[in-house]
Amino acid sequence: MSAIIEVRGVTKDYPLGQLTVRALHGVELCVDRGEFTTIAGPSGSGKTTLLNLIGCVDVPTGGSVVFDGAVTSSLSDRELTRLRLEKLGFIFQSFNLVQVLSVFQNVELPLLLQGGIDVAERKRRVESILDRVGLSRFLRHRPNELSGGQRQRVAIARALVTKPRLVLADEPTANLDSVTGNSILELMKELNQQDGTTFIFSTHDHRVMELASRIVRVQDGRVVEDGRGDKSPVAAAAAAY
Amino acid sequence: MLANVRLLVHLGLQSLRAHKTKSLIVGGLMTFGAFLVVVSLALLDSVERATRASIVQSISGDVQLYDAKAKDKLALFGGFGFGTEDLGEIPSYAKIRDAVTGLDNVVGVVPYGIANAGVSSPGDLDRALNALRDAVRAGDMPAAGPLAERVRGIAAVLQAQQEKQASVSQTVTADVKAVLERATSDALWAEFEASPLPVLDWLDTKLAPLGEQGNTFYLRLAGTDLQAFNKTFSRIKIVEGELVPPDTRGVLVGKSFIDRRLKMAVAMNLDTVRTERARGATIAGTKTLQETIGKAVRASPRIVYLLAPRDVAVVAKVIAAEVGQPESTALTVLLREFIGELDDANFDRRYGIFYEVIAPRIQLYPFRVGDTITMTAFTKSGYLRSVNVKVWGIYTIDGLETSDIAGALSLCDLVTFRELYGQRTASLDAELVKMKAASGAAAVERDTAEDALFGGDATVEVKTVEQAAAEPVLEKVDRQADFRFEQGKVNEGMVLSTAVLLKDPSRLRETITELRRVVEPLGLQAATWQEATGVVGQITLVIRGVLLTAIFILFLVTTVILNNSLVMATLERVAEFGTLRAIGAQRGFVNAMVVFETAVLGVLAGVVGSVAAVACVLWLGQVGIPAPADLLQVLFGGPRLYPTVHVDNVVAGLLATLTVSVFATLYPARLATRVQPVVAMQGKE
Repeated sequence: MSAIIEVRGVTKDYPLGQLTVRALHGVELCVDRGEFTTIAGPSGSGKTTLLNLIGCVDVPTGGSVVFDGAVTSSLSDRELTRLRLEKLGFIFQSFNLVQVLSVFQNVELPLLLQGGIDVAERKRRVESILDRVGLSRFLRHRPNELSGGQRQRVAIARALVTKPRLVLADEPTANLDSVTGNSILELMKELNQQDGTTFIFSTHDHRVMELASRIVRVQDGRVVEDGRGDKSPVAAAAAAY
Repeated sequence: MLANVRLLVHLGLQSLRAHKTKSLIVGGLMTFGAFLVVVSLALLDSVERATRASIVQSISGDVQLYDAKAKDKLALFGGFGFGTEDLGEIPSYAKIRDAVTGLDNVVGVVPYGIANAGVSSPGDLDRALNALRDAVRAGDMPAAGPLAERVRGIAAVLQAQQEKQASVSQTVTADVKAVLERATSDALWAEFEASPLPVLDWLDTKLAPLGEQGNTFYLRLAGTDLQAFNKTFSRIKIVEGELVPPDTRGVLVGKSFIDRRLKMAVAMNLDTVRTERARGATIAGTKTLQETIGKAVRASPRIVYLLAPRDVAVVAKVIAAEVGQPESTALTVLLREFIGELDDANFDRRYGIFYEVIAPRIQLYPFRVGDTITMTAFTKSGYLRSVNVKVWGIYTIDGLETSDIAGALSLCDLVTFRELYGQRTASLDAELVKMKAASGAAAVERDTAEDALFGGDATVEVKTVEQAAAEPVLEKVDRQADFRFEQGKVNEGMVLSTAVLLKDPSRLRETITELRRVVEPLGLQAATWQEATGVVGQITLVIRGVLLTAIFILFLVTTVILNNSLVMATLERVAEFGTLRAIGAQRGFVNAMVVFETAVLGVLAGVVGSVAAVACVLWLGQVGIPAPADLLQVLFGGPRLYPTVHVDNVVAGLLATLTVSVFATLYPARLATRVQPVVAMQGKE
């Protein structure tokens, strides 16, 4: 399997008044296509920073991030945006749906931004993905008329409707109860297995880790553990966490 | 692309709905702005059209052409001073007329020369004495009888006044008393019957100085080709008399001018009361009207002067019946009561009596149509020049019958104007030569003046000029009222300006450019009617300037408020913009989103405001806006303005709100595009 993302010796500094805070210290990470990877770590460990760099919403201070063959720090803002639109899907901790748009419109939004897709095709793809996440009865609803789980399903549908290479999820279950969280995870896992879409999560939730095929543990801005391959180390890591 | 626009509009509308309070406040402000723009532009345009109709189509034309070297600006209705402006000269009107007439969009060309002339009118006693002398000289004794009675009547009124004066002061001398006693005595008038001329001399030298001074009034004269003028300016109407016939000297006077300035004081004040009452004022409730009536009371003894003695009894009878006094009461007393006790209940009746019984028996104006008046003016070079001109008629401007300003110009022929302006003509030069020869004066150079006057070889020559033998030096013919001329030839000569009336006034700008191209080589400049009518024309420009400035300030304030509220809204929506950026929206999309949202609000506000404004103007167009002041009458083209609204006004309103909304979003939109996608990862929903 070829790598979708390669993180090579990445550092990331943030200015904090007169000081500079280093959030990542020479991180190395390689994620292959079709992986269902979780980045685990306590708050402030740097996992969100790492996710931002992988998600091309930020560029590293040192080292490089190569996404699908492109070095992100060499791309312009416009190119990065285009890359996110076409190859990436985002699932946010607090769903981040556009409140004034209906479920259908929220999911249709990335397709509209991409442009060049006719109405019928957009309708087919939006309805199909909403059907898969079990929301075909809620097309006309507004986000505030839905439960937290339903909203996250809308967000998943929005992330997947463009058929991205990689889906990034930042603590996707943090704002959900355990039952709902589980069903969301099951859904993502299912989509991963059926379509081969690569998923990377940040989380400190055991259930997420249990489902992951690989756990990358981050602490104080460094990768301290990278459990890949068979299920046992992952499970062990999850148990240890 | 279309789908994106729809998405933007949808996002905009939904966002407006989501922020109702903000949308209502900002939208309300912009709606008000749009309303104000449309209404004020519609009113301004209507006023400009009305002013144009009242000024352009009655006096000025759309464009005035005059000497490029003029020292003063042309001001048809007069500038700030009363002097005669230095406007340079157009040496040949016909040349200009021919050059301009062929142009597209020109429908009428009329020559002008402006001059200010004084007209003195004799006092009532002088007038009566003059008429009496004329009748006696003509041997017309039947006509002389009533005139003699009138002189005696005036003497009686003067006597009554002197007696009253004597009771409060000691300035009345015995001489005056004696003169008045004699003038009213039967003995004098019996003497007059026997030999009128010595008595007339006595009256002229003794009684006449006791009478009221005559008055002098000023006419602002526009000399023109009156036939062409009448054809070109459709709104001029002759209400009394007739248009000055072709090739004839004559003057037409504005009705409102003589009504407001020259009418007999009692009549004028009663007219004022009537006008004010028609506007809703009451005598009981309006102090100024009571004062106006007071003025009429003080002027009322003049009625007795003006009435022929046999009419006094007729008038006294009617007035006595009206005020409930015996007929034998003196007319001055009756009139004092008749006018002094005017109230809201009896005004209309008494006003009717005044105009039915008194007015036809007295002369209300210093001159009548058909009279010849002597106009005197300071010529360009500072000499006084007088011309006798017949008053052929009285004119009004259609729709502006009661406006003072509209009738301020009197119209006369070009020859009269040139006389008063002081143009040198061959006949005038010949006259000067004759005068010089007759007086025996010789030109003396300054350098040799001393020698010439007092030098050794100077001789003092005493020349006796026989009065009787002296031939009439002054060539009177061309100053007389009956002087005739050929208009065609006159038009070859000098004028001060030329009015050009256009077919399509909306093409003024382009036509004036063309006119300039034609007349500039001839040494002329072209001014729009607004520039050429002085204060009156420019007032619309001033109003426009003030209103547009006010609107500009309003929109500036709206822009600032809108900008602030949009900045706040943008800051509240940072997570939303971050999310959009994260999922792949370019900066341009976010920018368009913010701009569209306000643009949608701007369009909505513009539409609502414009619709309200159109409704408002249509309503005003039905009921009309009254013109309370004279100047407003000219601006409104009549006593009421009936405004109309045009598509341009609405387009301007919409554009203004749209511009404001777009301007106000520039900064907030920039802020929104600066939101980094990484914000989405930190954001709370």
